[in-house]
Amino acid sequence: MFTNVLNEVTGRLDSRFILTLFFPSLLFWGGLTVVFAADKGLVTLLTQWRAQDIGVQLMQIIIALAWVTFFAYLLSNQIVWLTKQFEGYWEWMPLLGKRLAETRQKHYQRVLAGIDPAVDFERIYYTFPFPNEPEEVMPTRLGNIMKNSERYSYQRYDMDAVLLWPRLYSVLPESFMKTLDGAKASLDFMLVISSLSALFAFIASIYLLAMQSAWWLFLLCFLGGLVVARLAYKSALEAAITYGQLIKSAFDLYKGELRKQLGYEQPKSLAEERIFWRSLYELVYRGEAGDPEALRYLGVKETQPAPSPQPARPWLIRWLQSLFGQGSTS
Amino acid sequence: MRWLDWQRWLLTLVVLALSLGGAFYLYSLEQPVTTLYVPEADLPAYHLIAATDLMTTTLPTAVLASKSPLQETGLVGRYTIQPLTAEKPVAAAQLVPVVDEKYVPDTTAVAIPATAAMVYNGQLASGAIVTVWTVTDTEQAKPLLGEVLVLDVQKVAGQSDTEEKAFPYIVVLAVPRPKQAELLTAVATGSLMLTLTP
Repeated sequence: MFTNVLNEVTGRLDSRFILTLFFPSLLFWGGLTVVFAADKGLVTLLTQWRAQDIGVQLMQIIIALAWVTFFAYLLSNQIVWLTKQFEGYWEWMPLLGKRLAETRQKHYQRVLAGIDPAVDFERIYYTFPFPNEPEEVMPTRLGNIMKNSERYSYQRYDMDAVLLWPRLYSVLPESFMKTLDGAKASLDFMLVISSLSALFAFIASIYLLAMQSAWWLFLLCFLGGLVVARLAYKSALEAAITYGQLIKSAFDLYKGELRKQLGYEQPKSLAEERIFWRSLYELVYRGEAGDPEALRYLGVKETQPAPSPQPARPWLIRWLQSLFGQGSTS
Repeated sequence: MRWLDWQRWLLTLVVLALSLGGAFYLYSLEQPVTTLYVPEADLPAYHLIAATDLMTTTLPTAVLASKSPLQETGLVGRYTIQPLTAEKPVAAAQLVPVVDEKYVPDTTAVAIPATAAMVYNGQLASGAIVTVWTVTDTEQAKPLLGEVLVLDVQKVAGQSDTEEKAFPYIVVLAVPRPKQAELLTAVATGSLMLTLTP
């Protein structure tokens, strides 16, 4: 019966959930437990735990795993919010958030302005919004990488990525979707590691200071946690570049499929296409296309109007006309 | 032209300052500690300390008495002359002075009333080795117990004048267990004397 329960439970746990969220959560809570035990006396606590009844030990392990799973599940629901914080959407923070965001944005705007496109366009292509949109620059490097991929479709095709991405995602082939999801999972994993490491550093160091513990343990937890957080963030930047390139590729390769699925004709030129996507955006977002003519439905042919029926002529007129070759005898 | 990200450098400096500051604060709180053996539970007076009675603990060196026995070998096989408190360091004054270990095994503490002469008018002290003599019916003194460790000599308090004159002292001896009954019989029936064993 236990095997059935285990199969049922693990069946519901996606492998991505286990790798991206469960393991980092387990490491986080395990680390905090070790810090607490090290302060109290690891050997003493272990001896006391071992002295307990085996049933009690098992129950404690199950409760611990259940808590970690629950924590990982809560984390999974906050991934979007977490990513937004790493991207620099800090306006929700009172006082400090907006000011800090503006300061960092100004810094990266200066950096972008200082890049010579002729020499280092690759840096712009992968990691910054385009130079003609300085207002799109974000307060963090991750934010700029993600903004770069977000603005690409608009720059190239006048496609609003935010509005059209959910629709485009639905027409992607499964193989491409898998690759995309894999890249997103890598990014999520690194961001989770980074945030949990930083959180561990702060919680552990505050606890050790309050308990007046060993100075070396404090240094190890505080500095060690922050170093891991930093390294994980740098890895997240690389993962974000890969993910961003896949998003751009998705627009390049499958925008036609999206157009077809929406039931529209293919535009004949890039200029027409840009008008098409702009009009579609207006239709979808506001309910009214700016240029309805740009949105031509697939398979609709233009036909000649049917001739209006002529009134019947008297037999004498018809006979005379047939003698002299005019019109038909009907 | 690369812009100096002064905010990132400032954050790095703040983090370094916090970590070094916290470490220095904790380091300054640390005191030198000593690991030593202490009783695991309360021990009564005149108890022969065994290894199982002890546990290790770590205490700041400053709070330790200057003459505390720190090694297990300094405690095991010694008699207490005062009750010991659990998990507290043991002072040398709470134990019988170190003697040859041959006087200790398989012994038990027996208290006998003693005259001033038996205790050399108060000069007999803990740690001395004595011979216990008994005076028989024929008024012949013969040795009852040889080479017995004196655990403690106490002046009796709170007794009546009559008793105080006869036996003003209590001597606690480490008596071999087989000889315990013999000694107690001699205490009840006869008179005893103690002589120091050279």
